[in-house]
Amino acid sequence: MEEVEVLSEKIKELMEAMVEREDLLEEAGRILKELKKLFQNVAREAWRGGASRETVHLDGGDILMTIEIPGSAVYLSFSVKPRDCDKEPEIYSEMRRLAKGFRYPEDDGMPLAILHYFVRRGAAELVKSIDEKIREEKELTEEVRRVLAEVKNALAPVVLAAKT
Amino acid sequence: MSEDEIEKLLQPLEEVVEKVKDSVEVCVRAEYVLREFERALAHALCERLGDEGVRALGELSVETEKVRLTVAGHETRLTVTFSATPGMKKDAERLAARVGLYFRRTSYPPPRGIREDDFKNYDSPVIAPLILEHLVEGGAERLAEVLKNKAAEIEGENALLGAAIRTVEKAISPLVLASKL
Repeated sequence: MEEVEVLSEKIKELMEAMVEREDLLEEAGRILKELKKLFQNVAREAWRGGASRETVHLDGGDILMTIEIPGSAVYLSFSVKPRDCDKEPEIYSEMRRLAKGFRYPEDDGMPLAILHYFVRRGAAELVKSIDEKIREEKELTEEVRRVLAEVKNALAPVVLAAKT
Repeated sequence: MSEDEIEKLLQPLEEVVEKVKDSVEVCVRAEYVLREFERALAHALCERLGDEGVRALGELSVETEKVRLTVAGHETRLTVTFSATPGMKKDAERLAARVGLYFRRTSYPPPRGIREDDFKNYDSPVIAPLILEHLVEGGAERLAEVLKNKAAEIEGENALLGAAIRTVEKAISPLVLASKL
């Protein structure tokens, strides 16, 4: 039957396109992990094994960078800002758009949406947020300040790349 | 009432029953042909996609104005189902009334029947021949066209996603470089 051939061929083509999309979103997940690791290493190198215990949430616009120092190591993570009662950050619609048609579009589209936002605006917002923390939060220890300053330095090339 | 009179009354009734029986037979045959078509399509797809492809498939659904094609992969098993969309409701209602078969609302979602929303499901034996008729009269071609357009749309989006990833990679490359120094 000719219809069987035509339909099965078209379904195969559609599947290939969908698999390619899945691969791209997975690649974004891998890059986000790499990025997190890079910044975590920067923070770890700046931390000299002191006794500070601190969790710092840095506001990057629609994204957040969290630096956690539980006293024994330094952990860093990127996340999406939680939904407000009356307002949803724009990044949520971006996440849904990127993974439209997936079973969990907000989960699948999240890494690329974070990365894209980070490069466009997030890095610059994070630099501002770090400056603010260092300037205004008097109770931060020297060690935490040093970690934040190093993370800020590491963010600089990304901010510069976004401007050019 | 005499036997003759009863016989006279029964004769037209028998004729009606014969006609309804014929309609039922057509519907049963249409259902059979449709299943064969689904089976052939599933077989051809399994051959093209291979086990890995079937595993990765999940559920895929495309539709024309009257017919929906659903392809679902469960481990290495693949099922293909043609069902009616709400666009076929009036045709089915009309044909069912004409041939004396039922068109009824059901409490369960019928596999081939019409699902208007979560609570409005309709089923009728005339749906199978109507789906076949639609497929033969260009519906299959339109489904292929819908699939082609969808693939082209996703490919376009993939190009955008790829470009976004390259932009990100470029922007973070100084960082990656610095970490390697």
